[in-house]
Amino acid sequence: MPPSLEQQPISPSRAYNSTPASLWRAPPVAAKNHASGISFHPGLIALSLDEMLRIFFDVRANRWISDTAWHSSISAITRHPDFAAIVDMGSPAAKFILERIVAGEVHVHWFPALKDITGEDPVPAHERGRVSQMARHWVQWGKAKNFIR
Amino acid sequence: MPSDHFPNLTDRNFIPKSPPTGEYNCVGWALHDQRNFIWPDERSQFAWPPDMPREDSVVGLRRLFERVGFVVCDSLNYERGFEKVAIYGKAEGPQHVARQLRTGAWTSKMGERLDAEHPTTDVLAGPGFGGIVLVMRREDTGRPPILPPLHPPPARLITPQGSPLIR
Repeated sequence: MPPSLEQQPISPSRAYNSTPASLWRAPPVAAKNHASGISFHPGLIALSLDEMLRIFFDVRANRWISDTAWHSSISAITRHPDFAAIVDMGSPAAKFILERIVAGEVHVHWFPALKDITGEDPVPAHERGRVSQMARHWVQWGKAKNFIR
Repeated sequence: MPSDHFPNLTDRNFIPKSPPTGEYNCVGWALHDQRNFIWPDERSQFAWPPDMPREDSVVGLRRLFERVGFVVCDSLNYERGFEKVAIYGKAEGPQHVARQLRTGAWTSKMGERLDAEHPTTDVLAGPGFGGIVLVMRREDTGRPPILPPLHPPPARLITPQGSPLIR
């Protein structure tokens, strides 16, 4: 009889293939830390740093945009606590933002965040406020700086 | 729209008139400009006349509307022959601008979301935008106001002799 899932070691390849999405499902295997008596999902120990940062970013970015998308005031948008949390993430957040822009998810929110994170603004002065062009300049900048491909 | 921010808003008093777009905002919409997201932001990332200070305040917005012919008035009521704008604000500063239509109703662009009509300015009053802090009007000429340049001219590369490098 093959060993049960609980008895199987977590192979590196299995751990690597664990996706963040699997965390939201009922865990198929509840491993137990016998020292502490706390149960945990094996996928939790398989998350890469990049995946953890992405989850952190996604939660905050989605909430930030949902809470402030009806605002025109850039001050009101950047006063939201999730703006500061995203800026504090630094370069990984810039990469995630640029990936979302490339995927077609353009929000005015991204521009102050990108500027505060990177300290740069590749948008020429004569295209400020032209949101599609601003997004295009940031994508070009992100590619030139190897944030995105 | 979140009801806790807009407690007076209902499906019956807020009528969507466009799909969502981030290409312009409430200030652009109030000025009949659907190409620019206009705001005097401190990072200088959005459209604003380059010869005006970027002052993120009610006074800053008032100066922009004065520049295109609006003057301060004291009534939200419709006055034949005039177009009005109403600026919403809170202690933190200006939050929104709505424009009055010839029907007497108001039209608002909601950030990067849709634009919509609402019968009164009260519909959008509340924790989200605060209340009306300034009303302005201009003569209704049937044409949009003439906007000042919202951007500096594009930088041009010139040779040491002063002629354009790229023609």
